[in-house]
Amino acid sequence: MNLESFANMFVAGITLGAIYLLMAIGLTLVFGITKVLNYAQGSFFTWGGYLTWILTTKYVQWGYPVVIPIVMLVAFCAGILFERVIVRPLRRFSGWETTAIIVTLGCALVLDNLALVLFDPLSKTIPNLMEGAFRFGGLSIAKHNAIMIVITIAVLVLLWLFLEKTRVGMGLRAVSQDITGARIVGLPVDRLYGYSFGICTALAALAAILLIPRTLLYPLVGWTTLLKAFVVIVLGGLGNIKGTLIAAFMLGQAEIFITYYVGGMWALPIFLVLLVATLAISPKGLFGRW
Amino acid sequence: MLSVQNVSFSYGDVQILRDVSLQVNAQEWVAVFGPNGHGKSTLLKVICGLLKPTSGSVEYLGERIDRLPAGEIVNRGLIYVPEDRHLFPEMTVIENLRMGAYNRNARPNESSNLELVFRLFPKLERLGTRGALNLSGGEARMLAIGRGLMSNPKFLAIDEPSFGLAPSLRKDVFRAIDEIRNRGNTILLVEQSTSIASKFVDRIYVIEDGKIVFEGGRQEALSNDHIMETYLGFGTEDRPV
Repeated sequence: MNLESFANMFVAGITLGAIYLLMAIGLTLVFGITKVLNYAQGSFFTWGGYLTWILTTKYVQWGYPVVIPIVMLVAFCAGILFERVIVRPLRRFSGWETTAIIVTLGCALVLDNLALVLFDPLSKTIPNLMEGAFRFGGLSIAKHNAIMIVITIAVLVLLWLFLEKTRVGMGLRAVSQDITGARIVGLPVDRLYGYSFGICTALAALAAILLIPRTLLYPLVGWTTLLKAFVVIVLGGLGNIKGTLIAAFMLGQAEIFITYYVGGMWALPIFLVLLVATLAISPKGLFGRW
Repeated sequence: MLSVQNVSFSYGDVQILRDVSLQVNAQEWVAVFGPNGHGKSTLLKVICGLLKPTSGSVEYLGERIDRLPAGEIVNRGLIYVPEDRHLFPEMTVIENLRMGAYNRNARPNESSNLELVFRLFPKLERLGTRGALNLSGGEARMLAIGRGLMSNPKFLAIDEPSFGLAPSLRKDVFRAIDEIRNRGNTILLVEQSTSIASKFVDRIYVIEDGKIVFEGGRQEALSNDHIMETYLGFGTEDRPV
């Protein structure tokens, strides 16, 4: 392999890592704040993809500058509704965290099958953010990939600023650090739970907009991404943002090189083997801390 | 100002509070003394809405609050300072204080309350950007009280503020609470060790096995040999005056 194709693969690995990061940050955020392991996240990814398909391809042909905000906003509201209607009533029961896993899994099946019924099982495509490529000497980067990296970085920086600097963001961190302390100072805990789900689904929808143009859209598309995001957060250490960041880009790179040398279908199995091996040696993940 | 009427509370089959009644008048400093594990902390948690009483009622400023969510009670200025602090470990001292001012009635007074906290506990200002996880026991205690002050309290319910502190620090903490009271706040204090606290308070309740077994003014309690020896652990010689 020459330097040029190595560089190209490296860039592709970063873009993939960025996608996993968006999904994984959403999962980590919701888990850290509400203690819910949200299996429906993959289906929100799928539905984000279908909504994008509807707005860019099927019924209207709007541009991404309009579509991205609409899809993310709809996803945010759907996430809040999901927390309010599905998750919140569970919290009255003891042992509800386990129940919530099963319930979100059930919702995922319902959402997936709804997509199957409404949109049929045939794969769809949605357009790239932008066609063509930037060329730097021998190195060419697809414009879609370049924009994808820029958007991901922008969104993550905004999210970080929101969590660090704003009152609501600090409230979210406070809830994840000490729920009793949060109640004592009178934080609106229920509302903050809702926001965390909203952010999580909005990130999943964004990940779909960025990733699906490179693959295909079908009713179960979210599961692969969700499973890979699970591997990312477990390797990174549950709730550990920095670990998640490193793990996402590591796996992004790994997937590209696995695809190159042994074929794309091996990526997920190798991830899962890696995951099991890591957990056998270091149960808290590579950068673990709970 | 606060009136607890016939409150009982059980965790499952275990009854923690039995028919507890107490009053706290505006700008009073009332202490509830009693041995560990006899329901003092549970009483405060019921008052501030973290636990709902099994029976009985809690009235605050003439309004029943025992069915309100904790956030609403905070909004009305009844603030709980827990014994086990419940600070936000990965936030700085300043961020912890700012979280204290989250409720809508505290927000407009955030900067003046912050000044007050720094005047009472100058050390917190110096520790400003230190993570709460890296505070000593005394510093964390000050931060817990400071965070309570940030919530714009009218009524502070403080759980064992001197627990685990060196004697000199204990005195500082009680002086600070005294100043908070002198600024027009009402204090309900729960303590196990009484020697310092009993110098400051106006009235004393003694709780044993979830029941109020004594109620009276400070002098009355201090002159009651039975109460002093049985519940507060003083002999006749080392009694505080």
